Amino acid sequence: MSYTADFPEPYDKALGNLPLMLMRHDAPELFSLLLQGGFLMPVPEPCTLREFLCELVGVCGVYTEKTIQTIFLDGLAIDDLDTALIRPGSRLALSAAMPGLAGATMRRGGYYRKMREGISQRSLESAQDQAKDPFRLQVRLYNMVGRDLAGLFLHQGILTPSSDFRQFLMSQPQKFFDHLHAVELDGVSLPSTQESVGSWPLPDEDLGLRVAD
Amino acid sequence: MDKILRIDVGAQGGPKATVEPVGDYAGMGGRAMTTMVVFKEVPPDCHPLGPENKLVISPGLMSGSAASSSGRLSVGCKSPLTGTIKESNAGGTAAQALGRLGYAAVILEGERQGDDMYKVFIDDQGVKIEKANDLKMLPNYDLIEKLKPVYGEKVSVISIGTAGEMRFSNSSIAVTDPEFRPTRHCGRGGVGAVMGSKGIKCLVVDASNAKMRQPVNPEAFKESNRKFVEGLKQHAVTGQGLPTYGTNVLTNVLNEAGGYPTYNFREGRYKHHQTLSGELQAETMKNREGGQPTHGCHRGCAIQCSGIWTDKDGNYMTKQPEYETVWSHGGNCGISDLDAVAKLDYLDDNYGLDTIEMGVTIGVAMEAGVIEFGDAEGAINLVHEVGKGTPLGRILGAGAATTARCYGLERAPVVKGQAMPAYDPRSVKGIGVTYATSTMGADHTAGYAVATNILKVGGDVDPLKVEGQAELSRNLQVATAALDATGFCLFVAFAILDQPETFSAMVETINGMYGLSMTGDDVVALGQKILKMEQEFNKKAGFGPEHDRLPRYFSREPLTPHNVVFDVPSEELDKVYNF
Ligand code: SF4
Repeated sequence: MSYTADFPEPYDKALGNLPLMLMRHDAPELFSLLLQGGFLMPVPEPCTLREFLCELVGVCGVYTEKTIQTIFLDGLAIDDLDTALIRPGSRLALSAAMPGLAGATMRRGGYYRKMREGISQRSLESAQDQAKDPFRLQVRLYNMVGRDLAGLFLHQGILTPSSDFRQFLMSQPQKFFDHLHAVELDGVSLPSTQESVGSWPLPDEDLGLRVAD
Repeated sequence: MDKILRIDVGAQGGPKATVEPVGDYAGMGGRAMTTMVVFKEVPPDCHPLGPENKLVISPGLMSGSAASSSGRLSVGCKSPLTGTIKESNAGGTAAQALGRLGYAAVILEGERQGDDMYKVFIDDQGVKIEKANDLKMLPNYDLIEKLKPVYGEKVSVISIGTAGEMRFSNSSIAVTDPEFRPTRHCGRGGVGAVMGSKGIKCLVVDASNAKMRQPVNPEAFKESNRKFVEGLKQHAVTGQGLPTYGTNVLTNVLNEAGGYPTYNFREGRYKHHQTLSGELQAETMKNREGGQPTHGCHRGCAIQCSGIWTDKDGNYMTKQPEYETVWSHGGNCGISDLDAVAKLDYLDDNYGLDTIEMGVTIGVAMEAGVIEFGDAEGAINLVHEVGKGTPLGRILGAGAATTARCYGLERAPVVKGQAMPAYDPRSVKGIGVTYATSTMGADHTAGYAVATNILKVGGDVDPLKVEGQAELSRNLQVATAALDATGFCLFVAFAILDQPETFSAMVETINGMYGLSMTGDDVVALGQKILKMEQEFNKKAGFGPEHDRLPRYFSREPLTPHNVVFDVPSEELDKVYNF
């Protein structure tokens, strides 16, 4: 099942006030290897996983229930989106249903969840108990979920180390650049060909990346 | 499938073939057949490489029919690696070919005379056995090249590489795929050594003149098979995840769970996991000439989880390595390069080695300081040592447990002498229960058939109660044993779990084929019968509850990042076989 809802307005337009790269690219799923490697998202204050996905990013309803079948927060398998709490330092991974007994075991609310009891999330801390400061959440999008949600997350904008981003671009085949129509770094246009990537003046540290078609 | 081919390798003048009616073994196939023959005909206290052991090769009950994803071939014997009963299965084209020719089993038995190696040719006209010393010590790919001009590429070959001929405890039996490559392996338990001990290098099966097996009730069969395929196609795992990424889609997720055994099971996460992921694997294959991320290991598989891996220049390297292989040679050894893993996979297939056992053995050798963790070239050289039978290679070829013993190490991740697969039992304890108690030694597929809630094996289980682990593991093992008898690939399990109508369609397909009216209860009864025979055999071979344990260090050494140990009590493990 692909994610089909409309893209919402980005909830954080400033993206941490980092240098901002804007790419016009019409096949965001081709970024999925970057998204499996992990990136950061700005979060205004601690919230539940459902609040993060649905209210901030815009991943709601049927897709969340049917396709995002395997979720890890800080390495713990998540069964309940409404009790899983996102807070400073959190690491989130989203995946589709996985094969095999291990896959069945990891599934949200799955029949075999007892088999991974030691690594299931138990904490019922509330967002109310947390300081209301903004922070950055580590996110990893895997497999089908990465392909389906690439457009939405990249539309919201992600924060990534420049070195990872450059490495990702350097490993892309020509096909990736066929879908790239324009590139801007902090409002300055850059050439969008494969050969030009090496000369892009990327910052030394992190950058904000937003992709739209 | 109404006949059995027996090959007496000790007959005067060379191996002799006898074809007999299926008799008492009627209705058996796959693991049900291999287990029953070994249970009835092999003395449990025999030496696995001695004349009393037998090698039973059996297509699943549905193999050779038009039923989707039903081409699994089972091989059974007493295992040289574990000393227990063994069933090891693979895809490839041979099960369909044997099924179409009407063979419910091929049994290699008796005492080999002399050092000659033989090849067996089976077609619709009968069986021919010839001396084949020109094939001696050929690795599997070279063997296939040599057979090609004689038999063409449409036949199926079941063969051993050099490891099987040298009777290593880690040695597989290869089965050719639709491209006539020896890529599918009955890997676990050293079954290749038993074939080697019988002096049979290969069986060439030509079913080109044999028709597909016809169902007793064609209409019902066709309709239920259609529904079964529809169910497989519409499910997220069997219709999308597996065809797109293959089984290696699990790397990222197991790593995230902290259950990805790294550096010989010392850590639960590997920092370079992304460089080994199924996502990268699929993308690489799409971008390389000749690469194919979606491919069936035999014709008629609706899932198609296998694939073809090519190098940067588009040359064939190996099949798409599976999750267990990428893990065993990759993260477990600290090797983070998919091309190096592909090379190791090719060498394992060529020499005829189980990739799980070989990767874990190399991990143990790395721990012993033979080579460094992360040394891909060193690992490749070690596999060559095994394939060529050097003194070091012979130690490694005996498996992870023996290697650890030779180097004076406690840290051998094995149960009953067999290497653990790619899931750390400290993170996923339920899988640990299955590793400990399986009749086969540490085996991930023993608890793979995740349909127990539908099957209601042993009544309704509440998986959240304390004793849930043992009950779940038992039920999984029963369901798996039953599925292993049918010839259906274990990967159908996910669609069956989620979609009761797909499970019914599968049972109805069997009913349509055989004109039966089986229900889920009959499937459960078959699974229980198989497990009981296996357990009884093991008991007589000297295995008791004290062998159903994980190595102690899994209860002593916490695994990062969750710092968990395996703490399921022994009493709980002992309950698994209370049925
Ligand atoms: S699902 Fe994969 S292993 Fe199973 S039969 Fe199909 S291709 Fe072979």
